[in-house]
Amino acid sequence: MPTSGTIGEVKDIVREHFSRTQFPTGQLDQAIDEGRRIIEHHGNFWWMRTLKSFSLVVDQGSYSITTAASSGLNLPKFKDAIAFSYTNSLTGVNYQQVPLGVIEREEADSLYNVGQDGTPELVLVDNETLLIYPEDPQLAYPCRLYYWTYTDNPDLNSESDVITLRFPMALAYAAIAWGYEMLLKDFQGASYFRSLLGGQPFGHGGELAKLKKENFKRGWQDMMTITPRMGSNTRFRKRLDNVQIYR
Amino acid sequence: MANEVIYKHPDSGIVVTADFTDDLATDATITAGSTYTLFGSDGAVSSGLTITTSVATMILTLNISGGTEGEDYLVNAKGIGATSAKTAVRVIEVRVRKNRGFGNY
Repeated sequence: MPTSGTIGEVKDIVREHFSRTQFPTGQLDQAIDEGRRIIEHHGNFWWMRTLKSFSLVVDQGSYSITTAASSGLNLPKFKDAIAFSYTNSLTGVNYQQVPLGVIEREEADSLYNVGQDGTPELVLVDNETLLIYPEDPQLAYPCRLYYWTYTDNPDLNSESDVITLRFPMALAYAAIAWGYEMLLKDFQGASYFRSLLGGQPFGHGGELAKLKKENFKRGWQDMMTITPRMGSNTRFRKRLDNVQIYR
Repeated sequence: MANEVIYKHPDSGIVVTADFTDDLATDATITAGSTYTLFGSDGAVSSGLTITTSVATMILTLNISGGTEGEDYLVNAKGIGATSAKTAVRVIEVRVRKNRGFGNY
């Protein structure tokens, strides 16, 4: 029978490990959500890349990332920033990148004056706040924040996404491990399925290693690679299928 | 948690009863207005199953047919006590499967 690659199919796989009716659907949904969290805590994967376009507010240098308060970005699932760019005119289309997170806030605070005017030169993420330096933009510059975001499992059983389609057993193993711990109180069984998910030590094998390898290949496919052909580093060439690169 | 879990083939028609005797102890019958609400796996109200109902004393009978392969539906069967006017709810989870459900067809 062909597999559907849906979230409903992942649920059915998990249910078959606990008898069909022992794992209440509400708890099962939580277990699968936890599985996605484990995966996404373990790395920044290609499906987590996204972009927020917004405009700065004149004379405002601090923006909440997770809420909409005071012209905040309202990104409650924000994980981490990738890059920041802005355009120098309100109608401009020519975006230029600004250094992001290259120094600490305390250092930036001492480099820029309070109330200093200017175009964005430096951007920092401090806890859940985006800080622009100098802190008083003089125009509502259009900006783009490229960032990693946490994602949710599909809502409907018939829906799918990249994890349910390509790595469904990662979610299933995580949910089964959760079920062994929470429902059956069987820590040995949970440990078995956790090792199927992430290997030993955790994160270096199993489904997580497959995900990371794919992520690594996608991350590097358009970049120049330098392979030492001679000299002392020749022995340290790494293959893409060597999971030890993630240490 | 659902009071009952049922596997159903998308082509089958099944009869499910919700008995409110224990939930509405002071009533002898439930009203004709006793009904149901259907939810899909996303938690939203759904019309994915075809359901007709009938009432006899304390039992709400649901004739259920249809459904989408792979979907889990929650049927919230509501019994309204004829004397107490209180509402009791029994939750039935109906999982529609072509090949994974055994029994209850």
